[in-house]
Amino acid sequence: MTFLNMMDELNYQRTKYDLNQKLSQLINQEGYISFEPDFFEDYENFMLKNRRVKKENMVKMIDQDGRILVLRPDITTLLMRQIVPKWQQDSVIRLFYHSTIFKRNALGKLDTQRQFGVELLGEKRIEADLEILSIVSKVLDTLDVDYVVELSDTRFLDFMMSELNLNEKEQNEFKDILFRKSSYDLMRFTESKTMSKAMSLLLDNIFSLQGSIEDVEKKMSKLYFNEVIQSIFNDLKKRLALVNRKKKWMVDLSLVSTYDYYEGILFKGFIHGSNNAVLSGGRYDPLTEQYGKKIPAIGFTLNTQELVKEVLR
Amino acid sequence: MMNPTYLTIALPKGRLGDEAIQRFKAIGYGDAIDSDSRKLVFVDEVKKLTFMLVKPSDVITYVEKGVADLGIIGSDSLLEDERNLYELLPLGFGYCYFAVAGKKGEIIYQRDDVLKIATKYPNVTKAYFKQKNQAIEVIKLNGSVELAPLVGLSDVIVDIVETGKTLIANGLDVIEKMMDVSARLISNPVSYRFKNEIITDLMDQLKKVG
Repeated sequence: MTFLNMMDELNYQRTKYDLNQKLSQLINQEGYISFEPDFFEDYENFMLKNRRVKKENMVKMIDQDGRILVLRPDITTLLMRQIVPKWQQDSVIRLFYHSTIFKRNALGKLDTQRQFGVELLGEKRIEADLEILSIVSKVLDTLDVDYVVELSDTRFLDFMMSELNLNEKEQNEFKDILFRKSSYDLMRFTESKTMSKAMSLLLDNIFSLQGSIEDVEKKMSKLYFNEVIQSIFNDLKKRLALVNRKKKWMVDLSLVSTYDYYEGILFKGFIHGSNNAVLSGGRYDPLTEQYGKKIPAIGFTLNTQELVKEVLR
Repeated sequence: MMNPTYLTIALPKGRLGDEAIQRFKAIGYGDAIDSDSRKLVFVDEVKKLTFMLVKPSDVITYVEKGVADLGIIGSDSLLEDERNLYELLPLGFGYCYFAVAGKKGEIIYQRDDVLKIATKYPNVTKAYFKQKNQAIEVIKLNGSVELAPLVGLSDVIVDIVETGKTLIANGLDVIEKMMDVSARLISNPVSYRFKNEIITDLMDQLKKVG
């Protein structure tokens, strides 16, 4: 943010500091320790692990020996590189960070974003999910802003993609269509594939599978039901149990994230007045596996720059 | 100042917007709009709607920045620039298509030299010819693209074609159809979350007259 007036600038800086303090304290009380991530990541390595990220959005640098590096575009990936290779059996670690990430925007200009993030590694599935969701809920409630969190389980789209027999390119195309919620492109996509009647009905209605968990389950039961879907709904219900303000949490089964490393629960948070999601997270065990060991892992990040704007208002 | 609780819709001035207004009137949402007036903002106090009339190429900006919750545009502008928007609904009007046009009989693939293409849509053009493995040079123009091949500025053009009359009048012909274009209802992602119920209602109504 840019200010012309000194007092406005100072006020902004103070608000930013207060918000950071508030968040850090809250997370500290939950037993999380602060972690400072590396600045650089190997370019090839990063692109290999995040195929849907746009090459042109990365900020690249060349090392003395000609190796291409990226200035961290995402912190979770870096943390994994720093931690997973040193992992000790049966440990549980709770980390948080507040750092800057770097990107190029659509016009090619350098852009920075402040991210506050929380990661819980090594804890068994359900307990960890519940802990993280309850922290998300606490964080959003302390901010005193109007918010909505949307929630899904990647197993739903994985199930659909395997039923539809999509290859890797088609999977990316499919996720991209859902990401843009483009019913026209989805229609074209459905037409180009052969599939069962039930599957095509499900695809036609995929964007309506959002709302309260009860509503979505009711809609779903009329469209398609089997054991996989039943277990997805059971798990989502269990995970929503500890959330404070249930009305602020909704299920959206067509939810897709920019990063492909999630498997299991996935969520995105929006606040009134911002142009984009301010919070995103989920379970990402597959990412740890890429660094050598499969460790249960879940976390989320919060765009504090956007939050400060809203708090200042 | 706009009322933040109202649903705000950005409409493009011109033919596409006129068709959109007809649809809104048909479902009873457009009573506040007076097409003969020169006003740019129309507020419907009963239905809690605000309509804004803006330049077609600015609709995306209004929606992306969240000043408007929804907008109506041709899918051509969605193809040219990647944006952070939801492309909720095809609207059943504003049909046209992207095409490569040039003098009749022009060879456009596997040419030994680089194919020169004049267009208002450099990104669409580059992506299309990359897929076809044809080396090209894009010449970005802002209008009267049909002129380019006639005066030797380019070999062919890439443009959206509705009836093809402008092409014929300038001695050009469609060499290849690229992809279809039609009007879309777009939404700001955050508005879509917070005003989901009214937006879904509106979409259901629009589907009926689409």
